[in-house]
Amino acid sequence: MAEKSGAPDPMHQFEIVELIEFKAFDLNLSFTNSSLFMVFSVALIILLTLFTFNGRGTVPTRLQSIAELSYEFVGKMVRDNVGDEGQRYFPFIFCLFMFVLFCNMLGMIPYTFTVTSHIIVTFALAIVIFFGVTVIGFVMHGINFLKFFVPSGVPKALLPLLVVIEVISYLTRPVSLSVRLFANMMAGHTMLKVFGFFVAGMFFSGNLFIAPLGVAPLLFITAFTGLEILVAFLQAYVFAILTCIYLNDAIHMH
Amino acid sequence: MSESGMPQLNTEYFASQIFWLIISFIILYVVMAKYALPKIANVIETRKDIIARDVEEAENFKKESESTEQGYLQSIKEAQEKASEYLLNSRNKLNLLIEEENNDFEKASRELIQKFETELEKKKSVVLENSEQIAYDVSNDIISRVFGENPLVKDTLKDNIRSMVKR
Repeated sequence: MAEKSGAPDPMHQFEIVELIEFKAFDLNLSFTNSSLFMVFSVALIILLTLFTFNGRGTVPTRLQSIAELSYEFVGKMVRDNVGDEGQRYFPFIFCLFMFVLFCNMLGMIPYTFTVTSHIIVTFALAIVIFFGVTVIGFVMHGINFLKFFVPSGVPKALLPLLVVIEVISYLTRPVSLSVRLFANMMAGHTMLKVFGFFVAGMFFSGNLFIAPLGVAPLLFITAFTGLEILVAFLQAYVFAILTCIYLNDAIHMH
Repeated sequence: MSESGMPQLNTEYFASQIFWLIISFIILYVVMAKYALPKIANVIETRKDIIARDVEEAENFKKESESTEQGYLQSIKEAQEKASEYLLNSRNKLNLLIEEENNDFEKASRELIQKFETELEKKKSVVLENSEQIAYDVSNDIISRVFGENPLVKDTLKDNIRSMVKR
């Protein structure tokens, strides 16, 4: 799409920028714009959940309401999908949901960086969940957890094939989980950027016929921003609820 | 400008991203699990208790007010019954009194009438008797003046006058 040098690149927004250089064990662990927004999200979540509670009034403040609603939302999610045994993992699911939600939402503000638009971040989260859930499964059921891969009530002849399919589907969970979130965030932001370029390009094209038509992509981008905010929430929700479902599989084995 | 087109595939910063993800997520987890979530749970629990207590209190007040209303209605009903009873009683008493008075009056008047009638009868008979005598005397006087003393005439006159008076 580059016609001239310095043409707008919709992927530019995903670039990592080093802010504070830091190297250890031959690794580049620099504090980057991505790190900044991770820390920013964590700080905001801590602020929201810890410092909005002034006194123990019966009537909550607005921000306190948000914190309580999040708490009850995730609490209900865990209760409904995992049951009472899931209560131990509630803090983790809560952190997961809030972290992904805040990273997604902060990314909706112009000129920010979207942490979750990077596959390595979502994959790191997903692989931790994957291993964690698998370990929980083996701890709770011992070797019996392997029965999870053997579907019941199928002809013996089909069993080897089905076990292979089950194992593959189990192993692809972290991939699907991470790619879903990453791809959604990346695609949405790229789309917004591309249409943003359309708007700017058409308005400042200097062509009297094309310039007014720039209103069309502007309207689209406005509606699409609303949709993206919905997606930002929805993907955090999907990420958390799939984690609940995997947890439930590990604890109850179907 | 990125060379690969997708900065997400640039492995240069993978380690940094994972490193900072782990750090920030662990901080988040510790703060949430140790401080924030118990606090929120506590606040929600406390509020639930307060609300439950208030609701219970309101329920009690409602019951109390209902029983008060019941008592109020009951006492009004009792008062009404008592009032109508009093009314009925006094009406009966009054009726009785009136009847008694009436009877007394009737009796007294009847006696009075009786008395007057007998008196009248007595007076009447006296008058009759007197009138017979008067009539006889007058007629006797007239006859004796006209015809002179005559015992025969006297007797028939007496009979005649008596029959006339009787009639």
